[in-house]
Amino acid sequence: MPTNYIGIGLFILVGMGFTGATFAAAALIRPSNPNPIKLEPYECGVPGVGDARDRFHIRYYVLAMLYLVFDLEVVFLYPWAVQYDKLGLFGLMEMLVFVAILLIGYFYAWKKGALDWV
Amino acid sequence: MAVLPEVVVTVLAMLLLLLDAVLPEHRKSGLTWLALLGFVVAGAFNLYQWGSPAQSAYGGMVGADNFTVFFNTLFLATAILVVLMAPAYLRERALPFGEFYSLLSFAVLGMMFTAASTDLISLFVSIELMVIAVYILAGLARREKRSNEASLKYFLLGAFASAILVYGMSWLYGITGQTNLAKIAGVLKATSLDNPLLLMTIALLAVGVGFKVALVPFHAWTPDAYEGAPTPATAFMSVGPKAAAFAALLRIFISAMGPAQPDYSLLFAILAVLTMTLANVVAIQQNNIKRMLAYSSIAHSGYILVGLAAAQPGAGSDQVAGIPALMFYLFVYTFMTLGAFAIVAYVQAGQVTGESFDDYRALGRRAPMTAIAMTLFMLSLTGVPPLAGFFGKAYLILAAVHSGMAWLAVAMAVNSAISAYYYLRVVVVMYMSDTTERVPLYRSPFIHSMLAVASLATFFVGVFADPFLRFAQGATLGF
Repeated sequence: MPTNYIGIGLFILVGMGFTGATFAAAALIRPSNPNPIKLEPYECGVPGVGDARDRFHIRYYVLAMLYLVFDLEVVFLYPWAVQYDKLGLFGLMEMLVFVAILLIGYFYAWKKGALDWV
Repeated sequence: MAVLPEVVVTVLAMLLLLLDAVLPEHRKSGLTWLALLGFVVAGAFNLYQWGSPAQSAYGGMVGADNFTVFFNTLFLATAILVVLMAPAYLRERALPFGEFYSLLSFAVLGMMFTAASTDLISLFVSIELMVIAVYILAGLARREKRSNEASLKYFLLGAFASAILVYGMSWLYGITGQTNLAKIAGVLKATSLDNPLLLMTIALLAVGVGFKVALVPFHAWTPDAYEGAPTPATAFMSVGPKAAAFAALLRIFISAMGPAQPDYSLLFAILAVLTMTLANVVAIQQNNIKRMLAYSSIAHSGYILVGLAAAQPGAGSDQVAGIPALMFYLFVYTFMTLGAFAIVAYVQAGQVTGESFDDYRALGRRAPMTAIAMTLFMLSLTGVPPLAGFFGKAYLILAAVHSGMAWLAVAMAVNSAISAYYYLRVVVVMYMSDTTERVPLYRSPFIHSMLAVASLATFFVGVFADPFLRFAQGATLGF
């Protein structure tokens, strides 16, 4: 029923209202004193060069892929760890097989030089 | 163990990957033997399961019955034939052995699980496992621009099609509240079929799988992908993933949506006629043999689809119904198409391109046995009796007539006549023209044994069609 969504509608309105009000209040109160250094992405540290929409080296792509391997592993490891008591030995074996398969992929990437930053 | 053949293929794929990483370069051609051994062992385990009661695994996500045994036989035979045709081509073009066989094994694994899936989730994941491996296979010749193009086009359109397919699956789940195929069928049986949402679902699923089996108008990627991919990969693409996608079509539209058959029968009949007609007419104008075979493979998707249009779920296996005819045709198609592509790979291996019709000039004199085999495959693809292709088409036409779609049968017969033009053109070039070409053809015991197997199968499945038809009929009992 549509009436069930009144709460959600209110939530959205309050959320947007609060954000808007905060920004408005901040704009009224804060001192306005822009200068080029202040507009940098990082006020201290290495100066920025160019913008982010640039050509990246293909190596980053390989690293991102390898990162995905471990990312996915964790996605499966967490629920397994939470349910470890119920899954028992069978679950442990299944998880070991899963990790072994991932390690084979990792080993292949390693041997093929995906981790060497030439 | 319901999934023993699949386990063997998984272990094989990873073993190939590991050995590729550690073996020195000059020992890697030995991986061919390992790949052959693995697929043969998986095939033996698979055939052993024939006739045993249906089992399920992984909490009902995957099943093992005669249907999966039939398709696994098809997939493993495809894999063995591709492994036999590949070494000469791979060595000649300096392509990596280990990666080729490993990706092939992963693709075959995806195909096997596709045919075995009894749940929408596992079906989708299996299809993805298959196609992602095949995208990479298509781009394996990474220093060749055409291969890159093939891989990228296949990937972009394939990803797009997968999105549509999974969207269609989500509609099916939305209508029925189930992901298990049998349970979906149960819900559909109990509800009214006048549901406009159901029509939308059928359309989305047909588009999604239509891309994978290259039905017109979703075929645009096929000629480019087939032309650019390394020839053994093309051979595999035109048979394996296509057969697996047809298995997925059967799983979705017969296992799950069988009760809605009156809603989609006409749709598939029209798609079939469109596909075969357009592909055959365009194939006539091709001068590149790989593109010609690509359009030929699209045309054959059209023929095979006739089986689904003429399917009568629940009709049993006592008559030549659409589904056994479809499966029998897939079986026949596997051998004749792989044979034709093997000859392309064989003629190509010693040359820079070797893809135009001119490269086949006087092949009848330069390599008599190869030319005879090619003639056999071309005649079988045309549908000349008593070869396998003839009986495949005959059963499909019979099925169409039985289900009251005589016009579909007529369209198929007319199209076979059109296709004779471009298939026989190859034969004419081989025997009735001369050449000054003196490039010797490559010698490889692997490809010769592969051609022998494919020719014998094309001949004997035609002459002794009955046991193979009963094999296909026995495999549909699960529905």
